[in-house]
Amino acid sequence: MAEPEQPEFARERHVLFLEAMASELPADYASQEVNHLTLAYFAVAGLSLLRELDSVNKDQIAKWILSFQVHPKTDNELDNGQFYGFCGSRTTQFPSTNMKDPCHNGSHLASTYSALAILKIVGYDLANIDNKVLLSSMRNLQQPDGRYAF
Amino acid sequence: MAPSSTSSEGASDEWLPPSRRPELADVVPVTQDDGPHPVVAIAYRDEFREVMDYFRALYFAGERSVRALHLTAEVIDLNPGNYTVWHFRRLVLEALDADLREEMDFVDRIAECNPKNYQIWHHKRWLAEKLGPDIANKEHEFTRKILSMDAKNYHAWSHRQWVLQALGGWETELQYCNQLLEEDVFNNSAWNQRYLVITSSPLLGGLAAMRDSEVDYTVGAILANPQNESPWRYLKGLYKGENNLLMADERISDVCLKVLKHDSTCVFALSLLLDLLQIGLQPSDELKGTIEAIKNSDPEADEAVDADLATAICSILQRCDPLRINYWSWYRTTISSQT
Repeated sequence: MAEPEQPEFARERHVLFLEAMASELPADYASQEVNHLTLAYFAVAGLSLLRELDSVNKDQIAKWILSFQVHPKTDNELDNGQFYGFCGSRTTQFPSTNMKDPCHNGSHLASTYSALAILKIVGYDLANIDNKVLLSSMRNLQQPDGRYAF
Repeated sequence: MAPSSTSSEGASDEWLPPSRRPELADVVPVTQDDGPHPVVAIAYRDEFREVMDYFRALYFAGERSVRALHLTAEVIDLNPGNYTVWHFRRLVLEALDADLREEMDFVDRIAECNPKNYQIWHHKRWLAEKLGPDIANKEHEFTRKILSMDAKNYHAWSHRQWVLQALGGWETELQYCNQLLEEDVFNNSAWNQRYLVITSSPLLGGLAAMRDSEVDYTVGAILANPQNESPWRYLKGLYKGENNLLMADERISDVCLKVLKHDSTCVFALSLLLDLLQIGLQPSDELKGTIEAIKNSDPEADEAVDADLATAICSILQRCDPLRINYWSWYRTTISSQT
């Protein structure tokens, strides 16, 4: 094959790589498991940038993302100082009913961003998200000096 | 490489899957529920999956035991970023009233391979808080080691500063800064640390007591490398909130003058002079002459000869600091509106 005069963007290879990642990540990513939604965001957002979202099952992705959302059981729980967003992975999403002494609900601010971004990218109607719960409980993460705990 | 197990006494022992260990025979592993249609699924290796399944069982049961402690060590080896495991490990350590010095040795071995893992540094702080001031020097030795490999590691610096303020160990810290700056005078982290020591060490008497000697030190560093921004910023920091002292100290305008005689485009010297003039410095004839000469060296200069010194410096800065040309242009308008 002739050497191209100018380096060209290997578009097809990027598409194939991102499609593979959107389906299954190699074992080396196990050490990033707590950031699973962020990994998913890079795969889905990358395909979106390349206009190749038709190759993924958007409904399945949306369902998968929504399964990471943490809901307060009652409105009173909103006052317990916790954040009700999305967990970043299964490992950090231990169902509290199964546990002897749950420590926190596992919501993670950066992963919540990834979740919402993915939902928007795949065309999920964000009006179905309870943004009131998200926003009011997010305030619990703000530190006295203005910074946010994750 | 198979994960190491702290429960194994012999170094030559092969790794044994949890399902084949007698001490875990009664544990029913809990598999991870990825749901019916997992997306971006991680292809876990068998050993990773099995260790996690056994950990999950003990975690759900809330079992605070020696075997839980050992199992969390294995999980951490496999995935040091898993903060759920670290949290559970702390619960186990407390329940067992474990030797936290041994735990610190354990976490330090992991930290050396993962020097930028948030969970590890968080765990170290938790341990140090419990162990108290006795551990301060050991923590300083550790961060020193990490920083010798990566001089900018934010986690190590953050931990070091916290240990100093919470647990002590100030005695040798200024000497440590001296050593780092001798090795690399461009190490801005070391300049930052030096500022913390000068201002916060309970042994040195504070900024006012140290300012004079620190100015001498800093002027020396500036003259050695005038393009090194760190000592210029440090110098201004020494007079934070004390503009009158900054203006009154002849060493400040002197170092600017010395630098500009060798390099008339030194932005740091020019902008510091500008600050001094704005504070109210009465420029010497030598200073006026130097600035005038720099201004006149520009063949495109169209400034009136009678422009004041601050305006002239702004014009020079617009020329030799093009990245901030808009800022200097704006700054010049503020000077004009004052006169």
